[in-house]
Amino acid sequence: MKALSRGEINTKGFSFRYRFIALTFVGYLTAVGAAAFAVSVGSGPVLSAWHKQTIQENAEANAQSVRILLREIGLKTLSLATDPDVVKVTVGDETNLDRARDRLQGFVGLDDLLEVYIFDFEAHALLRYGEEDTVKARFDRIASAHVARGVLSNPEEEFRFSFRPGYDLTDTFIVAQPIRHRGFVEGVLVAEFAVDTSTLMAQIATIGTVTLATPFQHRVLREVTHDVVSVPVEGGDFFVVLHPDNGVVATAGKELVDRVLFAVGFFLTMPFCVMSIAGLRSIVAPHRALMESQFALRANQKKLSELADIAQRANDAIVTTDLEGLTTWVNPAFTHITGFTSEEILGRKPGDVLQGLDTDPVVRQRIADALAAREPIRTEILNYLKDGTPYWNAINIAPQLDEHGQPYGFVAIATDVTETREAQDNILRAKAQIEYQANHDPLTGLPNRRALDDALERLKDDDDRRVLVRIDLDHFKNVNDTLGHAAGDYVLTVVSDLIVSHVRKGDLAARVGGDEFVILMERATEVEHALALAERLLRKIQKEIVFEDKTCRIGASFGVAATGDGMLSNRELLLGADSALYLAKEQGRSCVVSYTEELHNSVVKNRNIAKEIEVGILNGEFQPFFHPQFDAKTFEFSGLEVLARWLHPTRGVLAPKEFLSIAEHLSVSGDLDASILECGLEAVHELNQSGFHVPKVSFNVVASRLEQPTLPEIVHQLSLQETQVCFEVLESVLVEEQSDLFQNRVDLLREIGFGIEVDDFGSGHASIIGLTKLAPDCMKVDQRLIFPIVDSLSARKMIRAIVEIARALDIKLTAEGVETAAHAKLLSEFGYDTLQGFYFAKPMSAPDLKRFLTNYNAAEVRAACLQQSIEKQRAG
Amino acid sequence: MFNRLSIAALFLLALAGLPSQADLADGMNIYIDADFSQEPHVGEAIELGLKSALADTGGRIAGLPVSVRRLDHRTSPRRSKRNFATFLEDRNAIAMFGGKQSPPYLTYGAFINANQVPLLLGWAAAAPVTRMADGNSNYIFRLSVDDSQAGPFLVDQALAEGCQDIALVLVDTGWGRANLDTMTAALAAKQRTPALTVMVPTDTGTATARNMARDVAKSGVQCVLAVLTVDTGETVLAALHELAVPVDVLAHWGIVGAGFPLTVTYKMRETLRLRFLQTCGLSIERSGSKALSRAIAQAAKLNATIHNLSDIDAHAGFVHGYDLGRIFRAAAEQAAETDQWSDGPIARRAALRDALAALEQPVDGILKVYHPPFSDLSQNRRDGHEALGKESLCLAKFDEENRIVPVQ
Repeated sequence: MKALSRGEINTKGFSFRYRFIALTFVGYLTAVGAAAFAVSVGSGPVLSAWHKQTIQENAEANAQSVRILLREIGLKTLSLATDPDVVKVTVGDETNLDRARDRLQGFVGLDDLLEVYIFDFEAHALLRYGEEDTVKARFDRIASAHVARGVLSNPEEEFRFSFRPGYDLTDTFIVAQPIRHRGFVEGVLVAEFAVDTSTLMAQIATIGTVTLATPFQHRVLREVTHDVVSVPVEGGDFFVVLHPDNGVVATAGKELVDRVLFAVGFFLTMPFCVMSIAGLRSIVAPHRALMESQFALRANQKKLSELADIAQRANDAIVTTDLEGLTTWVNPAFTHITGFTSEEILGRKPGDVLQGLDTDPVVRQRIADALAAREPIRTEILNYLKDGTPYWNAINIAPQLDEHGQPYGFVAIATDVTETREAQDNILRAKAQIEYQANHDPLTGLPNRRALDDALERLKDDDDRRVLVRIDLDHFKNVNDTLGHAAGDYVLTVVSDLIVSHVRKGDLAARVGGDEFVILMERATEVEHALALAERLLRKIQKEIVFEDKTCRIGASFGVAATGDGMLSNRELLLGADSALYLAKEQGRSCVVSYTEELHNSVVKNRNIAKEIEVGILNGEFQPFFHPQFDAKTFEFSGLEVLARWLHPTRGVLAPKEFLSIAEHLSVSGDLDASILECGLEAVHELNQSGFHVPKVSFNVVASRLEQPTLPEIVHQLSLQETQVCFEVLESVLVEEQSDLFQNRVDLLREIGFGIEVDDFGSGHASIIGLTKLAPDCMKVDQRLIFPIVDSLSARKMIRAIVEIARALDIKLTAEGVETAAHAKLLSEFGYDTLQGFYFAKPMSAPDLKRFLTNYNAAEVRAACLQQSIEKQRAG
Repeated sequence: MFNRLSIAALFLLALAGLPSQADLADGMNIYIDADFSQEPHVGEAIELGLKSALADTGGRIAGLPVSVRRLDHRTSPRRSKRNFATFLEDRNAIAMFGGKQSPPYLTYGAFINANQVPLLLGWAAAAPVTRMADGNSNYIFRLSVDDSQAGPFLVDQALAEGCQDIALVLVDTGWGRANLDTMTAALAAKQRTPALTVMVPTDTGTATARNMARDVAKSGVQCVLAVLTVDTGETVLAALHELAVPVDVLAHWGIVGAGFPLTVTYKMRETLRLRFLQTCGLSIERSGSKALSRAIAQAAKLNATIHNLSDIDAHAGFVHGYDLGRIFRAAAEQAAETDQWSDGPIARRAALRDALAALEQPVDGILKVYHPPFSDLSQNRRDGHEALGKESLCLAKFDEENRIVPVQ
């Protein structure tokens, strides 16, 4: 038998399925056809009977319709039949017929009413009203009397009708109704109407043509044709004749048959569909499955043959075993790789032959478990060649399944991965080296900042108390500067060794910066232990260190912080220790400071202020205030010192001492300065524009601010030609070593036209050398020197000495803190150039300044000053 | 075809010419032309009276059995006329008794007289009926209230009771209009005129009746003389009572019917002091009449429920029927002695008429002894065909139990 390809199977399966469907469809058509034939044959007599019944019913309905229409006509004369005069004449109570005749007259001619008769209870005509008494009228009377007799013989009838065909379209209808007296029929009112029968018939729904026929016509018609159906009109002496339109009825019948056939066809569809689907599943599908299994069998045979060939030729070792794990077959590559012949391994477990001392027992167990569970496994394992040489195998073991899916053995494919493993090991070693270097300080071998960060990161969710010690070497820069970097490095290694020798195994000591170390104490360490450790280390570090016969001595500051007391989280541990270290530095260095609650509060407060400062900058809460300065001789307004003020929304106006240090810590003091400078210059510009001449304005700046190259540009943008702009720097610049850049900047600024003033002169370490080097334009003497001059002779002497120095160096003098008239007078006499203080004015906002200058009168103030001073002297 | 018809016609003619005695082989037939449909009580009472009178002689007259046959005219004159035609077709028919309604005889009186049908009226009261022809041409006799006497009787009663102003309220029919004439004449005879005259159509409804009652009230009369039918009587009297018109009502007997006392209650009747015309049978019963007792005894044989005159609805019909029956019997027996009696139905009826108009023996009736009851009508004797006079008229009323009782 020729093997079938899958394509052929598909084609044949397709063909078989569709042949089945086609056959079912033919069966369906045959069933519908047979049903159609049965319906056609069976419905014949029924349809015929239905046909007849329909026509009969329609004719009867037509007769009823005609009666209803005629009754409507008859109702027109109902009032006449109940008219008292008509009744009186009818029963004989009234013998004079005139009134009754008048009544009839009122009706005749209306609504095609031709004639009206009144008959008595014996059908004798009592009264007639209508057309002339012609022959036709007499015939009419006979006909009417006939109808009247019909009424009298059926006293219960409401109306009685008669029909007389006309020669043209208009026919005559006779409508008779009883005339009742005291409930009894005592006469008949007969009315003749001319009616267009075609119009009347048009109001009737019918299935053919409807005509009316007198009894005579009816008899003739019945003899002539059998097609018509006639029905007597109730209460009438004529017939409604229906000439049925057989086509209409037949069409209705055909439509009925068509619907039945449609219904039969429709309802047969369902069982045939069910049969078709069931057949496809129970006959076609199994057949197709059988064909497919034959195909699969042949395909498997081919595949097995191919696989066997591949296995023979493969470079990888292939072993098959039974379910017990005993080898049943190996390929040539196995013999080639391992050195074991097939005879040596057949019937034995491969593991027993190949595995040795260093084979990982865990891997062996995993393989054993997988085999027991009949599950596949991939792993790497160390095996041994026949000569005892170990080698790495990547082994892939899978159960072999029979046609029922049941395992009957295992096949293992082993690849020699010894070289790959060695390469991987090398890479891992290199990676470990790199990682170590990344996390350790090469100089000291201590973990570095990164390692500490990782450790702290791991602490994040740790609940245990943690203590961290931060160490910063004091004056380490001096060692580097004086003894060289090699000495510095040596000192660092010594300190590192000291730290390592003092910490426990669980502590983590790290070098996090040039001369900064951190010890993260192991969990649950008490703060006291850390403090004691710090004290011990401090003592050790303070000891002399000898490097290449040179001795050096350093100190260290310690900040200790701990979690667990509600102040710091693990995340904030380093910051807390930093704050404590900062405080230690502030407290004179070489000491140990713990992160206390007090320090914590200060930190929190500063943190809050820092937040408020950031918000305040955004909201424009930092504004310049102006402290006016006056000529010491004339008391004329001579300048302004611009001061930063924080218009705090809740705390009011705050002076720089409340926020400046924090702002500097936040690195926003530059922004603040720039803002104040800009706003201050704008205000001065506006004052100048408003006619208030401001000779000079000075701003407080830190030394580093002067180094910024943008400063002149900011000032020049506002082009204050009329006003000299000065910068006040603290006296400390005179003692601290300034960079060349600073000096260049100052020179440049002065060249451009800016003034340089030294603020708070006399408050710190005033340096005459520094003063000569800086050569400021003006010195502002600290107010602490000014206050006592009124009462203290030595103070006065000091002030005068400063005047001498200033004159010697050609530097102008400004006195701050001028609070009384006596201050003003004295300072003026001492030769000060400018006075500034509360005696004249407090620092104020730009609008207040404007008002102040408007009202300020120098002569008056000076006169008052002299006057007050004289009074004071007199009083003294 | 022609021959067969001709032979039949000749045969009938031959039959007509046969001796009369052969006609009466089956006895005589008396017909009653009355309303046996709407208000059958009157016809039935007359029939009962007639049969009771005939029973006195074992139902035979002049040796011949007499049967009584009803003919219903349903109040229609035309049907009544048809009944007369039926009568005329019956060779054994001897006399017709009339019912309550006058219109048929007012309309067809001439026809009746012309066709020589002896008509004995025991109720119909219209005055002209008995006065349509003179002498032997008049076949209509009455033993009942005669409106020509009823009107003056009621006027006399009203005046006797002291009514100064009188309103006449009459049904708008021939009967009502005839009474209007007699009453107006009676008032005129006393130098009076009616203060108000109201004609009431037969189909009068409540609204119209109220208007009429208002007119009566406005006229300020003390008495109302009412000539009304049962229907119109109920409507008008209810309106008078509803509007509390302060009048006394004296009525013709047209209001007497079974339904009337149910609609017009005792309280209403007493308020209006309603009294109505009757012949004096009840008064006679009260005073103890042998003739009445005899009549009642005969009636009881025919209808076991009857013990007293008041047991009979429309008892006047019974009394009149009985007395008329006795008069008829006497007249028939008198006529049977004549030659005419055997000359066929027409001659026999003429003989009966003649005997009625000239009865030789007195007839003992309930109401009176008729001696003679009738006489031929002449220009001077307009009441010749009236058996009763004013002396036979009384007033009656309905008592609390709706029975008719005489008014003292």
